[in-house]
Amino acid sequence: MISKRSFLMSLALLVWSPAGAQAPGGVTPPVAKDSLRFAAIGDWGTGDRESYETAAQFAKARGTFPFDFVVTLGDNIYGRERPKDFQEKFERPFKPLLDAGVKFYASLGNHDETNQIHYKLFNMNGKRYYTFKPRDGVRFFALDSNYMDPPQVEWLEKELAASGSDWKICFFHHPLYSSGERHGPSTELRAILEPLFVKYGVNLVLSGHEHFYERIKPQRGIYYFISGSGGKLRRGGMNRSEITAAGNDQDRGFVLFEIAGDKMHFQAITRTGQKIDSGVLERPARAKVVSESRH
Amino acid sequence: MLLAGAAAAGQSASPERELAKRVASYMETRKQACSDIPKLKDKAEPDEIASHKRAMAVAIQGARANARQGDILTPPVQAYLKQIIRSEMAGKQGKPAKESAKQGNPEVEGAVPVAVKVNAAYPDGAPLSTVPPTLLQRLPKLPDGLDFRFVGRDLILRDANAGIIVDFVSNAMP
Repeated sequence: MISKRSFLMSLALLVWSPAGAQAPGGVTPPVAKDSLRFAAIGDWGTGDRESYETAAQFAKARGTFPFDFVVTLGDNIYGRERPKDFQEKFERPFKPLLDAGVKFYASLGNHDETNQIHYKLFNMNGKRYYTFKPRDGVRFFALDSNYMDPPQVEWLEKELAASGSDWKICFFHHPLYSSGERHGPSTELRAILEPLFVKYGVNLVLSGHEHFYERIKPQRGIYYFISGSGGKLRRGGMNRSEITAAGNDQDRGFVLFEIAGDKMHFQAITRTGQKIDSGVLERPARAKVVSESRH
Repeated sequence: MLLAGAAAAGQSASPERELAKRVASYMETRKQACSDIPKLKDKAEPDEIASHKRAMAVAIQGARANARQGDILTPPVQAYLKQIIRSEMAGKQGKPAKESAKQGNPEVEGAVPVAVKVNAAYPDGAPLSTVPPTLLQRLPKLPDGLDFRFVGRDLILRDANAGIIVDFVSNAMP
């Protein structure tokens, strides 16, 4: 299953580079002035105390790292979806970000009612799957991994083929690679999506579903992150495996990204504000890790 | 895609045509029943979403008050769908698909029970099963607004916008 190339990349990942290391601690500011900054959070809409604490930390992080928008990795609203649930599980905890004009771009999880696609603050514009381009050179593709039917696959291929963006970033709920004990990788989905990702040069794939953080060693030249602990947490639910570059299943959290030219900087932050993983990934070298720092 | 699915299942295309015809008829009934309901905006408030869904459900349930299991998924269509599903999920090779269909399946997740009945509301708060993408490549294509989902071993045909069960196939999963 793991190619020689992937194996070599994995070995490279194990070599920690002090040159690029960042001090353990909290959120660090962006490295470039005009970079694109965004955040990712998954499995977050519980409305419980911990999800509020994560949301508060999320807003606090923006003080240091001013991201422009958030992509959600599904399970946006757990349980009932009455109008008051949208308020209690999303609008209230994330009010500081919403008030600051931060846009949320959602993807659907298995706990999400389909009609969320019409919810104005999720910016899906009535679509289960959609694409947006926040700036030249970077394009995002939101997918509905619960229901990857042929029209969606055809749409994705068409959009990927037509995209000339340097950075192609896909986000959806079910991870193609995972070291999760409960769910594990969605191999069925991988069989459909991975060939398209490879063929059309997708650089980064963000997923949730597993209630922990995991950064996967590059697979076939693509970076994979799982950030599924925005509200839910499966403590001890990750069995580190040969594909794990870094991970954390001890607290809730989210991930911050910054794209500056051909480099993408990332930092995974917990509910208490601790940085648990960070590094720099390079685009054109197809999954070459410039530096990383597992805290 | 549809013909490929039929061929893969070793069936003639007639159950698929039958399904397409009955689905089209359902969509027409739905359109008529909901003709007085204002279209939901692409950027709506939660209360508008909830009202719209409720209005659609009431209208469709009223228009199909006498609907029964098998009206859309007729016995030959049920057999046809079962054959596709079972061939996809059979044996060791089919295990990933079977496991995939358990993800989000309300009977596996156990959070909110789903009563599998024609015209019943799919409960608010109940998760939705994943439908294996390899299976979706073989199942007949549905128009926007309808989808297939699993509840336990049953396959339901769901009106995703109205949140109601339109029809179902009992014990569709092996």
